[in-house]
Amino acid sequence: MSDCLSLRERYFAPGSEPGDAPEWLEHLHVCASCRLAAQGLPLVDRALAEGVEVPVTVPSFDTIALAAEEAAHRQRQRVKVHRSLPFLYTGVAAAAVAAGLVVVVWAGHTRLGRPKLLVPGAELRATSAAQTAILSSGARLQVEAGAIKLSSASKNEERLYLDAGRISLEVPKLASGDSLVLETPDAEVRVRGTRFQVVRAGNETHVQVVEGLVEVRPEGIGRPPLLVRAGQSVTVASAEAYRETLRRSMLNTIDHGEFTAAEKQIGELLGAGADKKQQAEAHALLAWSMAARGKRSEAIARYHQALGLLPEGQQPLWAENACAELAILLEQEAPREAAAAWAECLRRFPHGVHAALARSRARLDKGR
Amino acid sequence: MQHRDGILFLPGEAGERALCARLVAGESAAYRECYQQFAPKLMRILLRMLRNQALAEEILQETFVAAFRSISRFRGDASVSGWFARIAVNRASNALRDEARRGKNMSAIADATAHAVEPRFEGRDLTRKILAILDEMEPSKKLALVLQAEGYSVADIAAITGEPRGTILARLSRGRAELSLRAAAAGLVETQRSQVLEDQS
Repeated sequence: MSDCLSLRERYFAPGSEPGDAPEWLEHLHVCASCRLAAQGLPLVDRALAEGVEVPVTVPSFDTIALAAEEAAHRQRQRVKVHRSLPFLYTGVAAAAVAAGLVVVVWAGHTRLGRPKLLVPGAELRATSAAQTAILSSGARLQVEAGAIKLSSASKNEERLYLDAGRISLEVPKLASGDSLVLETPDAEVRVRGTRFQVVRAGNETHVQVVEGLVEVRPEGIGRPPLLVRAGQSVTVASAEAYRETLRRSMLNTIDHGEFTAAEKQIGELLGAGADKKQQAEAHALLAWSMAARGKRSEAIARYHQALGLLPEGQQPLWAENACAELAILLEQEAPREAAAAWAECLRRFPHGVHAALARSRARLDKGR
Repeated sequence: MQHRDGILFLPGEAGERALCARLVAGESAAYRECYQQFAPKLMRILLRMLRNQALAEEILQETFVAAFRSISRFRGDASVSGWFARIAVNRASNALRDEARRGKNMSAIADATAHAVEPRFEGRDLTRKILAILDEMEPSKKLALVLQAEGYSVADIAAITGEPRGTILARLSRGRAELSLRAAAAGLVETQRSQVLEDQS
C-alpha cells in the first residue's frame, strides 16, 4: 500500500503523466486500485477543466463601486504623500541638521560663555585673554587686565578688590539693602545695579559708567563721595597723591601770602589721614601762617604740637626752621623759655643750619 | 489578450503587473477592471468551498473591498490574482470555521442550495457527478484541486493556502487519485469508457 501512495504521488502529480514508465506499468499489473485510478484520471481532469469553463453569476461591480472609489482615492492620497516624502525627508533632515547646529552652537556658546562662579577669597586674573566670572549676586565681571579678588561676600554685600588692572562689571538690579563694592587703593565704588568699567593704574582709579549710577568714595578722610552717572567718568587719585596735591596747593597758597586759604587747606590735609610726619609739617606751616598773621601765642602752641609729632631722630629742614621760629617767638613772648627752646634746637639739630645761631642765642640768654 | 471598454489587458504576468501598477496608483478604472477580471474565478473558488451562493457573493465583495483598501500593502512577491485568492480563501475558511462554531450544519445549507449553486453543464452529467464527488472530499484536497483547475501554479497554491509546496504537491496527486478512485467506485469510469466507445463508433 505504501508503494501505491508513493507511486501515485510521483505519477499523479500535476504535470507528470504515468506514460510508459516500467516501474508504473509493472505496478499496474499487480495493483487493481491504481489501475482503476489511472483509468479514471483523464475523466477527473476533464471534469475539473470543464468546471472552470462554466460561467457563474457574479455580483455587479456597482455593489462595491463606492468602497472601491474610496479606496482608490485613499491610494491616490497615499501616492501623493509618498511622492512628496523625499522632499519631506530632505526638509526634515535639513531642519534636523539646522537644529543640531543651533544646539551645538548654543551649547558651545553656553559652555564657553558661561563664566565660573567667583567664591570669596578667589582671584580672577586675566592672562592672554580676558577672564569672566559671576558672583553669587548675579553680577558678571570681566577682567581684561590684571587681577581682581573677591575679598568677602556676605548675605547683603559682596566686596571686590582691584589692586591693578582693568575690569568691566555688569551688575543686575540688586535687592533693597544689598550692595556690591569694588575697592581699589584709591577709592571704593558702590553699585546697586549698573554696568561700568574700572581701571586702576599708577596712583589713580578711573571709573567709567555705561548704565545706571555709581557712587565713588575716594580713599582718605575728608574726601567727599562722587556720583557718576551713565556716560560719565571720574578719575580718583590715591589718598597719598591727594594729600601731596593738597600739600603742594597749600605751599603755593602760603607762597602767595593767602594765609586764610592756606590754613583751610592745612585743615583739609590734617583731615585727609596724613601720617605723623605730614601732620607735624602741617602744624608747623599752620604755626608759621598764624605767626605771620600776628597770632603769636597760637603759633607757639602749633609749633610745640608740630615738633611734638615729629618722631625723634628725623631732621627735616622744615622742622629745623620750626624749632628756630619757635625760639624766636618765645624770645618775644616768653623770654625765660627762649633759652630752653634754643637748647632744644641744638639738642635735636646739633649740626643743622641754625645750629650756630642757636649756640650764640643760648649763650646770650645764659649771660642775661 | 482581452479588450474591455477600451482597456487593453495584457495576458500573464505582464498584464498583472500593469494592472497592479494602476491599482497602486489609485486609478479608479483599474479597480473596476480588476473586479471584472478576477471576480468570476474567485466566485467559482468560493462557491466550490462554501457551496452557498449568498455567502460566496458576500465574501467575494468583502474580499475585493479589503484588497482594494490594502492595495498599498501588496508587496508584489506573488501574483495579484494569487493575492486576491489568498484573501478570499482566508475569508471563506474563517466563515466556515465560524459557521461550524455556531453549530450550523453547513452541509444541510449546502445541500439546500447545491442545486442552485451547481453550474449548468447542459448534458455533461458526468462532469457534474465528478464535481459532486469532489465536494465530498476533504476540504484541503478539494481546495488544492480547485485552485489548480483555475490555473494557479503549485507555488501560487502554496502561497494562497499558506502551506509548504511539498504538501500541496502531495495533496494534488493524492486528491486526483482519490477523485479518480471515487469516480470509478461510483461507476463513472465505465460510463466514460462506454461513452468513448460510442463516440468512436
